[in-house]
Amino acid sequence: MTKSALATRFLTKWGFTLAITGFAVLVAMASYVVFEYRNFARLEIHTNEVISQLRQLEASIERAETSQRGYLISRQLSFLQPYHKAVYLVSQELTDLTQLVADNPLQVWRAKNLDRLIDERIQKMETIIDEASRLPMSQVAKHIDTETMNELRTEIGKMETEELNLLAERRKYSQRFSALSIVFLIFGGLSAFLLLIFSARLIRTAAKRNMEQSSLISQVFDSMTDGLIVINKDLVVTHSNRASDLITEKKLRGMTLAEVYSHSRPATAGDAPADIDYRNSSLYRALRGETVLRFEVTMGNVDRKLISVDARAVVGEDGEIVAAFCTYQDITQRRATEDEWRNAREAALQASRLKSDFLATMSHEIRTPMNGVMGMATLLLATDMTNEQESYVKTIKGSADSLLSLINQVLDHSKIEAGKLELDKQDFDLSGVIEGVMSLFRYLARSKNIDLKIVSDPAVPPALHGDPNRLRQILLNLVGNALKFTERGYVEVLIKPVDDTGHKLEFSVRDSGPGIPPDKQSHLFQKFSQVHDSKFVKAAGSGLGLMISRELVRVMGGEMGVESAVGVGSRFWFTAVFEVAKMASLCEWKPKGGREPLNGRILVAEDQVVNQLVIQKFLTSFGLECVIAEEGGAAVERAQSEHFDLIFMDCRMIPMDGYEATRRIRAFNKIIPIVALTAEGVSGEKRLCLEAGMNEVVNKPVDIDQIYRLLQGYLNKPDYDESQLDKLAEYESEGKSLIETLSEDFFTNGKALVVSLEESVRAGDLEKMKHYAHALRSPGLTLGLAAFAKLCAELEETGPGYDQIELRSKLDRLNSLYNRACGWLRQQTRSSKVS
Amino acid sequence: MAKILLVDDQDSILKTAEAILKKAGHEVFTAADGYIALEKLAIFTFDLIVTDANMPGISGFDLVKALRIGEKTRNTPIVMLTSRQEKRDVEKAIQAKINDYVIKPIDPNILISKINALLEKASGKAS
Repeated sequence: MTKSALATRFLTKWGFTLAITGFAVLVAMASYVVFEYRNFARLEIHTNEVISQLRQLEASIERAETSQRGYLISRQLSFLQPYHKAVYLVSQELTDLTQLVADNPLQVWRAKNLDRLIDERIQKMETIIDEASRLPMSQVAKHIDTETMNELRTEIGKMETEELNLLAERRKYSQRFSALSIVFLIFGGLSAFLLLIFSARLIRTAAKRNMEQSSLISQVFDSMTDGLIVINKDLVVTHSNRASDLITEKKLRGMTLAEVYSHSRPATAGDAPADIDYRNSSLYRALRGETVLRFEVTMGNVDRKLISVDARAVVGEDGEIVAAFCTYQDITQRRATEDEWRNAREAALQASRLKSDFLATMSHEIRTPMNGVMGMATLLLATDMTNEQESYVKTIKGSADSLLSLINQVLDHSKIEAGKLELDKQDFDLSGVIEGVMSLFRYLARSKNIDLKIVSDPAVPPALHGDPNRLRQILLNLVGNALKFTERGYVEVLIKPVDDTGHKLEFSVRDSGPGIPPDKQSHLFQKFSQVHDSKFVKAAGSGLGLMISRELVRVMGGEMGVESAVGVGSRFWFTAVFEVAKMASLCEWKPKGGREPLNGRILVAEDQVVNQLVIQKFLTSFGLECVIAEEGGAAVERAQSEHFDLIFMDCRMIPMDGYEATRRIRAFNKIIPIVALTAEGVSGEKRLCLEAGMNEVVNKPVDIDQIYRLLQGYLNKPDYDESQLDKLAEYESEGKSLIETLSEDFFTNGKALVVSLEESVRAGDLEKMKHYAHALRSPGLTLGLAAFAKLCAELEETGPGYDQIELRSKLDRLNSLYNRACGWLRQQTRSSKVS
Repeated sequence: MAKILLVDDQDSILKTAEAILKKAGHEVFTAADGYIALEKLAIFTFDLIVTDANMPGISGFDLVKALRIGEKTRNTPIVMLTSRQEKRDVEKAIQAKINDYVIKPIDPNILISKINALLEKASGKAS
């Protein structure tokens, strides 16, 4: 919220309160001032009354005095009448005065004083009048004095002055209050006016905002394609948009819910519209706290509409339900489109199936005569012909061959489309399949001068159970494609297991061909698709190959994909799930000739007699001495008492299993290589084995080649290149023979480097590890420690996504290779000295 | 007899090459990295330089680039030592205008014959 908006909100909230409070204070003060002013005005009148009373009193006394004197001088009794009247008035007026000044204690006291003086005076006058009737005038006169009268006058004067003072004071106040009241009047009027303007403006803005908001809301509501109805707690529709009015065919706003649902749909088509109990309506239920989601109703009197309804309650700030709203979506059209689309798809699929069936039948029918053509052509080739004739027949045969392969592809394709593609299940020799594929292409590869090679991971089981023919088909397709497009460089088939179990294999065919632009790659696996580009014009074929291959891979439980970069080459890969061949087929494998015999003593811990026999057969065929231990405990005992070069350890044995046996052997012999033999590759088993201290894991059924390679790695002396030492023998460095100097360096620095390398692996510092590996490789190479240098090179190549366990086992090998290399070097230097 | 600078971060290679070249009658200076090599090149003039390809800090390629710019060393024959794995390095090295390369592990006969051939060529040009 902006600052100004906040200020406006504050003003609207508190402005009124403030203004009204201010106004009330103003009014209160003004009325106080007016009240005071009135008070002082009254007091002023009062003072004036007192003064006039005083003057009357003075006048009455003087009149009494004058009358008395008149009597004394004239001695006429007629003068006494006004005198008595005056005396009477004086007493009356004095009483009035006392009453008037009752609010002023000082004046009351003075009035009493005045009363006393007047009493004294009247007393004296009475005495004189009395004496005057009896005594002569001269004697009377001495009683006449002016003293009391003067005193009286002074007292009245004092009272008058006091009152006049009061009057002046009160006048001052009343003037001030009258001025104040004028000020308040002006201020009050002004602020009332301002308040009026301010509130008028506020009311106008609020009204305008309300108008805008409600017009915006109703515009938004009306622009919605979905109907919307909002009802309040009293079941009256407060909002309804155009769409809802259209759907319900009523003007809903202001209606009660009962009215909304009266005559809302015919009970059955043709019937008179019937009322629905609004208490069953979604809106009513939503108001009761239910959330009514997505149900469909048929509505409308004329066109029956399919409506999807969605109702919810609106919860106020206090958590109480204050309203409910409901949206209506007219899905008549959508449902109709969906139905149409579904029908169309069904029809299309049906047509496609028919076409596939037709293709399958046709392909099959074509194959029969094609076989005739091919058979006859083959027979014809065997007869005596001229060179010209022979070349014609070869062309016929060649064309028939490609036609047949095309038909086969079409047949496969229709089988796939019809969902009739089934796989064969049989044991087969994987290397046989691969070799078969490669042999077909060798000639072509040689003629194009392309390096065609196979790289197979040793962990790939040699014997599999699955469909060799389909596998061959896929490989033929991929290798054929790769060779077709590649003009120079290489085509390489790589095979490796995807996981520990060895059941899922990944095959990839890599080439150094022209590559496929990224935008074309996604089309590769579609029907009849080839990369159409001037570079690829030589490509010929049905365009079905990759699509069929992918389908085959899918049926084999795998996936297929491609990675390619223009100008670099392509890699087509696929995975497939096989079962491992049954144990029985293992014995049929004949050890291939030409293996160099190995030397050594092997302990085999294995409890199953068949397996004992198999591995014993293998080992003795390699020229090794084989000792069998029936279970883990026996293996531990023999390993402790006899010398072995390597131990094969079955994992599942009773009573002591392979893991425990390994742990016990490791307690006293850390060096001897222990190779696990695990049955069905259970995932996680490899980790268990390595954690127990085994060096490597071999999955059963064991492959003779794999065992041989493995034993070769462990038993053969490290691959030393003695010729390298011979080459350096004649040189000298630092006063010794060069070899001696380098060897000594290798003994001292090498050990430190190996330790540092291990530490860097532990710290997870790959860069440092590579640095140390590099530093070890150089002397290794120079000194002819080929195997050691090779391992160092491997370590140098370690990528960021390396396998911890694999790396650790490499470190173990590095250690043992280093120790052996040192031994070998010592032997060499000694023997060279002797010689 | 020629004055040769040997540059390699690996002590074993330095020692081996030094022994071989000394026996062939050359005067040999060694540098354990590119910085030391550049320092020695600033002071002395060499008839030939043998350098490793991959070294930390200044790599062999960077060194060659620098030498080919320098007035004094522009025409000095350079032999690069590369590993068998670093096939791509060989191509890179040739592009960097070295005169020849020797694949490790060093075969003394190959090293000597290549160096002598280069030295002969250089002296032929000079004379």
